[in-house]
Amino acid sequence: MAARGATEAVGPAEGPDEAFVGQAAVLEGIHKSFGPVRALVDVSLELKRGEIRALVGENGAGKTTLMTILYGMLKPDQGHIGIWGRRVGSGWSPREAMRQGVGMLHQHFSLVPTHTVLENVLLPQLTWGALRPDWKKHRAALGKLCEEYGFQLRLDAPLRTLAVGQQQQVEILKLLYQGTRLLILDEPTSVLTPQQIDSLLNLLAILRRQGHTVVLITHKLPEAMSVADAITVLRGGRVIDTVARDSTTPEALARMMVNRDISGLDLEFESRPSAEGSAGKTVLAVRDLVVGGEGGRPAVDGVSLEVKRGEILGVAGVAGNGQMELAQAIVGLSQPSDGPVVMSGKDITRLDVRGRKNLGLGFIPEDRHEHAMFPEMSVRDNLTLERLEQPPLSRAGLVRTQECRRAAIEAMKEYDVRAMGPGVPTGTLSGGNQQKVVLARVLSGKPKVIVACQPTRGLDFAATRYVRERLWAASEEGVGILLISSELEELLTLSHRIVVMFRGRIVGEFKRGSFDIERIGLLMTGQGRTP
Amino acid sequence: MTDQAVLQFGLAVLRAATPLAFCALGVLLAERAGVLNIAVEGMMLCGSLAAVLTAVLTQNAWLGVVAAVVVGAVTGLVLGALVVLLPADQVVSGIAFNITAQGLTSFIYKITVIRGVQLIGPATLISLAGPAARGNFLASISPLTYVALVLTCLAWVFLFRTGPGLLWRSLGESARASHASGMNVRRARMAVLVLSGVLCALGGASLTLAWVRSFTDNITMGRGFIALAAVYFGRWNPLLAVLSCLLFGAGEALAFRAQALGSGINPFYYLMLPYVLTLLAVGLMGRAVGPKEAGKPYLGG
Repeated sequence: MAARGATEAVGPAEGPDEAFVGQAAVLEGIHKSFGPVRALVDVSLELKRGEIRALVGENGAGKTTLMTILYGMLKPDQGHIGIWGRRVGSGWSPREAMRQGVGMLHQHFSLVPTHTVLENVLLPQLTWGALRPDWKKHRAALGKLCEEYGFQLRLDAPLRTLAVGQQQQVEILKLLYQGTRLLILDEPTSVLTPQQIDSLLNLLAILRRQGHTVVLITHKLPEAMSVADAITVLRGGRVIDTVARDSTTPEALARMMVNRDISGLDLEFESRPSAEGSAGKTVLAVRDLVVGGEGGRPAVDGVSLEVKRGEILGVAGVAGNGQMELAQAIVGLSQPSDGPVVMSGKDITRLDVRGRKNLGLGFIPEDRHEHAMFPEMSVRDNLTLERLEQPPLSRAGLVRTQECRRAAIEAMKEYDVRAMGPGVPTGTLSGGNQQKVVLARVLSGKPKVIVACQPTRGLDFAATRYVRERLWAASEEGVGILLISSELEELLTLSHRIVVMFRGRIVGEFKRGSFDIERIGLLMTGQGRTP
Repeated sequence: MTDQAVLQFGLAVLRAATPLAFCALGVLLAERAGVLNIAVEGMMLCGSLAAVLTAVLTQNAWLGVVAAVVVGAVTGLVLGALVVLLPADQVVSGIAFNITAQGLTSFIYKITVIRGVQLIGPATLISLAGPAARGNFLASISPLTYVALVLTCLAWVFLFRTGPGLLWRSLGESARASHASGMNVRRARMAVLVLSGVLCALGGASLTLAWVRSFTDNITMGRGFIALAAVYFGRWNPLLAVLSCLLFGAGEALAFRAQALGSGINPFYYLMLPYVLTLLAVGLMGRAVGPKEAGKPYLGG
């Protein structure tokens, strides 16, 4: 039924349409369901030519779904799409969208790591028939574009040698070079440093001046407020409102996004005491830790740090500066080439992952699906896996399924894991609930130290808040936490101390009360030095 | 060793290396587009039987080559249906394909033998100038060897010096990026596999038409897998891959030569030579990083 609806919806009425004239894009009465989940309910949206529109909302609000429909990757169950004043036909697809100047920057880039910048940008222009593309002409044209937008890209550099921020520039350049005039950016700032965010927002302003239309999907209100002309708020698959930037405030937007006052969260943490600080005893320490990396340069290059009892030590840094290697060396996934890892005075460098875990080292890995859990296995199995051999979960070497089930249900209740039951595959849960499963497993092991990597990545407000509060509560009970995150705001909210990592070294340290966002941002990109 | 012996040895190396070179090109082009072609051995086997059978029945070796091309294209389509359209696991499908091909070719071979057809092909493809070439090295080389060398150079120029070559390599490095830039990944990979099948079957044809001149059960004896190793050893570069084929071919030629000289060592040790050489080469080379997508099914559009 849904499929038939789709063909009817964007059916034969292709062509100019009075309602669409003067708009860059119009979405009219869009409905979209995934099985029983209604992702979009009667959503209508108009994008003016030459405006920057921010699309804000929690995870699952439908922002990305709506834009992938506009881009032709998904077909709406119902509703119409108009581009540049013309209603689009049933053959609307990304290919057709590109041809009409609609381009989308996805969160995961579509770039070929082994190709050069030039090759990547040209990929969409190449055809199987044209043996010899005019590289010279393209090179000159791209050089000019780079200058215009302030991109400092070496066109012949292999893409994999570029930092994430530059890769994003390549992706944007690719879209613009294809002739994109309506640019959709899906959470473009989540991988960037504060400085890179600024230059991206500047770029958007340049594009607007040139007459481009930009849609910025984000959940960060300050960004939306700083650059957008108008802001559309989505919640639960519906448009709540579209407001002009000048006539609203972040607080008002936040209320619209979650329908409850959330601004208290940060203040709450702000007012909490700044830990026992140096008074507590050290529960985790590494000294002059060196971990090998690819291509000779060590990934972690002589890092020393200490985590005290009850302290949250934040590690700031742009992804790929050795934070993950540091975490892996601490939990035992990799062997450092130099420097001991010490837990509560005991050298654990020679212990394996399990040995360290048994001493009370908990680990929340960065990648939920790859390292934190088994998506195909049930919630019960994931929750009990690590304790299976201990009573009461097993007896005489055999697992007692009823006990496991009971333990799982208990943990699900305690950690607010919302699932149909303990038997469902963990991978079918929402991201927030998956992370709660991970959290439940780690915390129920009664750890003394937790290494948490990106614990709230991809989670919505409620789940983020929940995870942060749990971590905070754990620290108040005396657990030392090493918090590795690329969300500066998260570190500022939770940490008692923050160290900044750049190219495998610690380049700065800040204590709570003297956090300096500007300086931290500069240090993350390798500029400036601690006084 | 006399000049004549050196010349003969050189020819033997080329004869042994030509089937490997065709197969290596087939495998390499497939992997560069993101498909692991384990089925190379089976494709080669199909090609070698089709070639010799047609050549004998029509008394024309070149028609045998044409038959190998057609059969190779069909094997490519079959493998493509399995690993691109379904898509099933590339390794498991490849192994299944090889086993099937071995059974099928043996079966057809038995039937033809029972019917009284002697599968010994006309020898016109062994050397460029036929019997008149005696003593002239270049004229003694098989035309199929020349074809393989030309294709090798063409493959290199295509992959690294043309626009479509860049698209081809994109398929092997990131199917997602290829799709995002407007390519039809499945259709492209189907075409790639057809070409790969043709090349692998040509490898089989050059084995039976330009060297052994007959067919027996499992005549390829793992040469397809040696070609697979040559691609790995040649780091997915057509020129280097075919150079490694020459190395492995030299091993094979040496084995026969040494056997003929009769040094008192058990001849089976010599026959192991090409395989041991392959193992050593791959083992000594260490880790090599090939096209990222090779072996991964593409589930997107």
